[in-house]
Amino acid sequence: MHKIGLLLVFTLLLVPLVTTAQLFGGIGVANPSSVTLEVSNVAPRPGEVVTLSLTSSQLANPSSLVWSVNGQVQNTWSGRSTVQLPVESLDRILVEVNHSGTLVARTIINPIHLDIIVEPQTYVPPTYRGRGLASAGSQVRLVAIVEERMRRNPDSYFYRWQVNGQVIGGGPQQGLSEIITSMPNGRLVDVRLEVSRPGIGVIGSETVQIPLVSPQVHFYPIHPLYGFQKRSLRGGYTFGINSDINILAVPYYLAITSVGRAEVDWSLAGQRLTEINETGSLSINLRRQTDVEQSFLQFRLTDRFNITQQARGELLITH
Amino acid sequence: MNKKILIAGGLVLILALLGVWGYILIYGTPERVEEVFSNFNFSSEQPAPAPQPSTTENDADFTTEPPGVGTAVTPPGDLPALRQLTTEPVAGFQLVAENATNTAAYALYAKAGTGHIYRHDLTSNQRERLSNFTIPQAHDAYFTRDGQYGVVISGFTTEQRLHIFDLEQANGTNTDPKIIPIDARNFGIGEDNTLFYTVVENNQTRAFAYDFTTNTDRELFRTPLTQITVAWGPSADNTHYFYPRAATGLESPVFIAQQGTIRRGTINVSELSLFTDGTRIGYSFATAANERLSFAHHTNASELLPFSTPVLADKCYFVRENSLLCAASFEAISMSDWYKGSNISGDDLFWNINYQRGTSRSLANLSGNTGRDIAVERLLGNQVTALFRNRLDGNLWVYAHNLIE
Repeated sequence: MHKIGLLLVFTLLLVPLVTTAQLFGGIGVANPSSVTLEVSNVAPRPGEVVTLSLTSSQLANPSSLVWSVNGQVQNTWSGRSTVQLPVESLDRILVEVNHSGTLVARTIINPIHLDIIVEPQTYVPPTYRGRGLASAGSQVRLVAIVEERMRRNPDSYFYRWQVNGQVIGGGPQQGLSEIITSMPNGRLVDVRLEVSRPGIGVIGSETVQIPLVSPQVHFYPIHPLYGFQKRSLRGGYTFGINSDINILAVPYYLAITSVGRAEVDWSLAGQRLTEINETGSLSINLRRQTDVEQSFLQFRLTDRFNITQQARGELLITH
Repeated sequence: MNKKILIAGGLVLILALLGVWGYILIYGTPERVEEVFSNFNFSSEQPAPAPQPSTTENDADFTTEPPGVGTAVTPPGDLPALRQLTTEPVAGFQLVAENATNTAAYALYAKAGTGHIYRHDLTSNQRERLSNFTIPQAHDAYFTRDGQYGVVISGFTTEQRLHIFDLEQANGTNTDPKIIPIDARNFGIGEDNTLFYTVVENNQTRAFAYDFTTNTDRELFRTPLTQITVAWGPSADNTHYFYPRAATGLESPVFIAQQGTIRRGTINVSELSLFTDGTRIGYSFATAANERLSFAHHTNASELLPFSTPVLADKCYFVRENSLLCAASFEAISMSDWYKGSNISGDDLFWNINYQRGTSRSLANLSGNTGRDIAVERLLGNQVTALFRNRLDGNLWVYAHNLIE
């Protein structure tokens, strides 16, 4: 019985987004089955423009077509077989087409907001006001936000997630409004979501592309009183009157799990400055050297359990 | 005989020289002491500052060249319109004025690292310390718009501490700090003596308004999203806007929270930054072609009004109806670079943008007027005064303008 129910739901999910006009036998059109009203999207989001196209080989005088939206006759659309309807809110829209006083087609449009929110689980410092970006091997939390005219519990919907074409969990699952998935190698990851309601079928779908980036390292000076400064040492660091400086290396976009179990390696001019530090100290005190003019400070952070998860960077130091 | 005449002549000469020396000694002294030192450039043309109360420090006047552009005005006391108020980083600040056009305002600020709170009178240019309570690791601070309450936030590691002050009490009453999670963020101040903030718990974000007068928290809304930015309305009961934090290549739909209910707005863009004053919103974003666009939108209208100068909405505030003050440089900058601090140009200009007319007017070239690299952050103010922090060194600045019409 349970399988039959699932099959029924799956079948409902396959209902195409293009609807056919519903015709009524008692209304009196000569050959109603030949009239088709196509809608570009029956589940548009507010702000979207929907195209409606009426095709028929039986309607002798198309100039007699009269369109109405929610009972209001649209005079500017009269005689046209294709019209464009701006969707302004989540309210249900009833579109009817009359020909010579006879209803020949009608359709219902149910606007919906469906968003896939991408929350990469990669490291950015607490002071960073933006969102992290995903990198290969990291995880991403995907959250579906559904909003219809009628408020419903998110757990009442069925969610069918696809990541790079692979269906998560084998098919639609009730209440699965969020998932966590690992990012493969590549530059973009495609995510598709279909949301359905029992007895109704698919009520909306959405796709997003997740860009993948390489982890980065930025260096910041640390002030003993104020903490790390908000301007990175992008162009290098030149010793002035101070003979030493504390420098913080901040990895961006590396998996959070990797940062928590990383080995840290600092070196200056190819010479290791510290033993590989498993406690993950991201800062180092650097003293001015008088016997060299310039050297590169190098930083590497590696996941101890997955050496492919690594962030590295270098900084030109002028003594 | 000749010898005696020579001796007598020599004595007369010596007496004459002694007379000249004596005259110079008695009458030749400069009338003012300053004239003696002026040869060494130890004095200025400005009169010496008035004596200060014991709690007042007057080393805060680091004046710059007077502005020569736009509507910058000279405040009372011949102070430059654009001037630096501190030589040390500030954690946070607030402009306190009776109304939007009142020039007799003062700035409240807390020093970063120590949390000491100061009141800087923008008319007399005098600074008074209101609290010497030291708060190590103070990194953020907010003050109510009436200047009565302040909060200094400290802590970088496991938790954050909110040190709350009633600044109308002697030396600023400081109660035991309120402990909040390390991931608390989106701090903001409401007109109703509230501190807004969010915390992430159990895979959801909860938004709170902390009431300074009752020391109680009130939950405003919650969402299953955990990485959000909130643009707070003027008070707890007003509409608030939140969206997934800005990211390159990822869209941020805007959600509208009002009286505990949440609905989806129509904005859905990448690299979004948004602010509101309760009756309108301003926002900026990046297009797919990496072009930055900015719009204003009155909440009771559907029309989008574009800015004629691209800006980061983080660096703007509404000045009056249909116009705003923004800081922006000519150089295009990505939002992620700005947030990382990896590409800060330091050549900001102030712009008066009228989005109804579609015009922008350059008011001041900050670097050109001061000879300093200035990157504006946390810009706030009213129709006559703007306060901001220089991102490059954390110092507090004031800009006196006149955008009253």
